[in-house]
Order: sequence, then C-alpha cells, then structure tokens
Amino acid sequence: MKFPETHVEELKKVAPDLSYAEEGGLPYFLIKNLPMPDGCNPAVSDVLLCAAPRDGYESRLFFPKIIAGKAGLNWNGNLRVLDRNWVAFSWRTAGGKTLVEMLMVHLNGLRK
Amino acid sequence: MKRKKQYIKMKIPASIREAMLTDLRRPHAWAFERVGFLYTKSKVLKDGTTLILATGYTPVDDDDYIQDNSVGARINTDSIRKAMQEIFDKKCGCFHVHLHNHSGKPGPSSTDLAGLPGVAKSFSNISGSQLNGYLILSENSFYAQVWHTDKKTFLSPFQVSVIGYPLELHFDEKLQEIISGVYKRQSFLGKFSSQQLKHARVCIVGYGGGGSHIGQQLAHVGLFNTVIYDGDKIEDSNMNRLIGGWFADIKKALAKTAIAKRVIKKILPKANTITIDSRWQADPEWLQGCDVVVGCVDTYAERQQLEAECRRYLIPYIDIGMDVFAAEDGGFEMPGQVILTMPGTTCLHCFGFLTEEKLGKEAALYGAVGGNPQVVWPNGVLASTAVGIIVDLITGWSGKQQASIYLAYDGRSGLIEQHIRARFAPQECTHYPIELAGPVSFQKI
Repeated sequence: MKFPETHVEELKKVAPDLSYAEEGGLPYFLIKNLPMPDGCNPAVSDVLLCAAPRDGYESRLFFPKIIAGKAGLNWNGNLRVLDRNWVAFSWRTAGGKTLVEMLMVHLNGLRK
Repeated sequence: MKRKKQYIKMKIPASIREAMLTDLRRPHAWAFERVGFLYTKSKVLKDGTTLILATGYTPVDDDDYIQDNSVGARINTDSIRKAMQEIFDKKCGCFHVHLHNHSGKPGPSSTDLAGLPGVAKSFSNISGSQLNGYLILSENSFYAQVWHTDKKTFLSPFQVSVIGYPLELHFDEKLQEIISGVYKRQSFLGKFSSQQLKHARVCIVGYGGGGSHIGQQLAHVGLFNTVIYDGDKIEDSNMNRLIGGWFADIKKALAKTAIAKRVIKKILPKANTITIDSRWQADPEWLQGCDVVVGCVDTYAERQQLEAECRRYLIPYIDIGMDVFAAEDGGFEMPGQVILTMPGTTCLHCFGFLTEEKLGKEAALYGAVGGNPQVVWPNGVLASTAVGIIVDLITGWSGKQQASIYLAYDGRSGLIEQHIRARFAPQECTHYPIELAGPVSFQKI
C-alpha cells in the first residue's frame, strides 16, 4: 500500500525508529520506543499503527500490553498480527487523516 | 517436549517448486545444467524443530555461466554476489539449487560435493541467523543439505514438503509400506500412507463440537501427531456435542484437552498428542510446526488471525463452522462451511468469507458473539468432511489436484456442495504473497 512520501516523512519526524510491513493486504507501521502521554505506564512503548480500515475502525493503534493510566478504556483488540500478540483500545478516528494525525488521535485516547 | 535430535523441516510452495523445475529444465547455450537460488526464512521452534520456509526463487542469469565442459554448470562470482545482495536486502537465507533430471531421490555428484558446501558457507557469512545450504531437485524428490553454523556441519532435513494439494511429504528415511491389520480397510490411501500419517502433524484449534469429532477420527485413521489448543473446561451445555465427553467430566470440570488426550489414547495408544490449555496465540510455536491446521473457532476475528499465521508459516488451513437461525417459513436454516485455503492461493478474504464489514460488525459486539446454536450431527458432517480433506492432503489418495476448497453445507436439505463463490474467486491471492512468508521482517524507513 502506498502512502504519500510527505506523510511518511512527517511521521518519521515524530517517530524516528520507524519500520513497515504488510499482512493480509493491510499496512502496518512499527514505531519503537515511542513516548506515551504523561501519566501512562509504561512511559515508553513500541506501537503498531494499522493505517487502513480494519475491524470496523478507520485505523488502529496496537500496543504490546495494556497501557495503564487512563481509566475506562475498552481494551478490546486482543489479537495476533505480524507474528506477535498485541492489544488495542477501542478508539474511533475519522477517515482521511495523515499518518501522524492517525497516531496522534489514538495517543490522545490515553491522555487523562 | 524437546525433540531429541536436530529436526529440520523444509517447506517449499508448489508454485516455487514448479518455477524451479521449469527454469532448471531450460537448455543453456553451453552449460549442461542450470543453477538457481532459493531464498528462505528460517526459525527454530521451542521444541527444537528448525523450520525453513522457501519464499522465492531466482535463476542464475544466462550471462553468469562460465564455459567449462568438465562440469555440468559453473557460475561466476557475479551470480554469487547477486545472491548475497538478496540475502542482505531481504534478511533471508539461500540455497543453491540445481536439477538432476531423473525420478527418485537425487544424490550429490563428486563435483557437487566439491563445490556446493563452500557456496553455502559463504552465504552464512552474511545471513546472520538465517540458514543456508544447497538443494538438488529430481523430477519428484529432493536432496538437501543445511549448513549449521554452530555445529560447523551440514545436516539433512528430516522432512521436505511441497505445499500444494496434495502435500508432498518427503521424509529422510526409506519409504516403507507398513502392513497392519488395523488399517487394511484403508489400503486405498496408498502404499506409504501409514508412513505419511505416522509423521505428519495436524493442529486442531478448538476442541468443541467440531474439533472433538476431528481428533477422534484422525486417531482412527492412524494420524499419530496432533497439536490441540483449547483453554476451556467441559460444561453441561457442551454435552450435546462434545465427542468423548462423559457426564462425570462436568463435575470434575475436566479440561477439553484432557478429554482429547483420553479419547485419542484409547484409540491410538502410541499417539503423540500435544495439548495446550490456552488460546493458540499464547503459545503459537506448536501451531507453526504443523503440516495442516484446522480451525474450529467461533469468530471471524479468530479465523482471520489463524489464517494469517498459517499463511506466514506455509500451512494449509481448513476452516469449519455452522450456524442456526430462524427461516422465513417459520423453521430454521442451518448453514455451514468447510473451507481449505492453501498458501499462495485463494484465501478467506479472496473467497469473500472474511470481509471488513463482517469483522467490523463482530468487533462492535465487543466479544459477545458466543452461544450460537450448535448440535452434534452437522458438526459431524462438517468435521468428517474436513478429515477427508486432511487425509487427502497428506496421502493424495483421491488423485485430485486443486488449489482450494469451499464447500457450503445446508443442514435442512443435508446437501454439501461447492459454494458458488468458489467458481468466481481469484486463484492467486494478493492478500498473502508467498514472498512475505516466514518470521516477519519489518523494512526500516
């Protein structure tokens, strides 16, 4: 799946340790050691951004384990993708966003 | 349970084997033989099995052969350098490949033994932990040697499989016809079927109404090796369909996997049954080492994940399931499916069985999808059909060659027939390209 070069470069500025893979025809960006919003535990985490619609969401952000901090999140995305187990909380985003916008909207879900 | 000695399992998709044979049979202007490179991804599983998964093949360019009438083929350093570049770029392993154009198991010539080990060792200098070696094809068999960097020796794979329908399972032991009174009524499965069923390994995910039929039937047919995942214990609501479940098990809250082991052991005392009391995702390596996986699960999400894992590890995936809902005429409809998807060919997405819409609707229920009606007889029909496909995959008894299967079951009429989608689905899968098989490697941006 192709993304505009500018969108990828913009994401790289925010997430320098960036890599990419596909599975099932869907694109995934792996971001290592991404700082989480204040109050989160762990404070830094790898994340996997699915930058295309899946499971009824416009995009999805996966974590290696539940991020403690904000109460009331519905961690309903317990699944295996790209050879590893991930979890995700239910968080709707609008379509038509750039990669970094997708990432930021999902991370906002963790802010108290 | 760790394997006692080095156990290497090599898997080659049928499309790649076909491509290799087609290429290697082409005449060259002066070389008597052709050479190519088979790219692979390897992984050592926790039970000691080493998996080597073929993901691509590249022929040596015509111009990279050196004219030398004393040998079948001599290739130049450019061809080796190109292969090494591929290994470096793709973080993969590589096998030097050529063809001995006869049938039966090939063996290395003195020229092969003199030249090929050095090529494999040189690849190991840049491939990191990925394994390398050399492979000699014949019309219908293989000779493979894998360079083990730590042991500083070449090892033979115990199993080389061609992943097609049927599976071609080649074992590093003499073909033997096992004559047994127990299996004399199934001799039509083939002279060597007992040997094939002795070594093949089948994974059953979900040991409920469907999986329990499959476990029992595979034991009856003489399949020795099963891996069974189920994290549940038997409850009273399972008793209408859990094959092998006893009423006394409910009070004991017996694990379904314990019931599986009991049933299989009573039929086939020497069976090797590995049971895991959890979701397969919690301990996936047992599944990764299997030859066939059957999914007897409840949700589209589980099916999607199972198929993705099977595609990654080049494993044929069989899915069974059923449902019951109110019909317009006041009765009930009872649809079901048995679907086989093979690596490289039509997947559940290609068939339209899995769609983003279905996965989205299911996710919106937040996991409250269980409790669908289930009864023993349609489970039996679907499970038995799946067992027939498994046995055909392993033994090839039917003589059929097909890429995938999609059967629709109508419980009201009792009919099971090809689903109309099977006629129109694309043969080649774009969702899971073969070149992406193997342990994942992310591309740095």
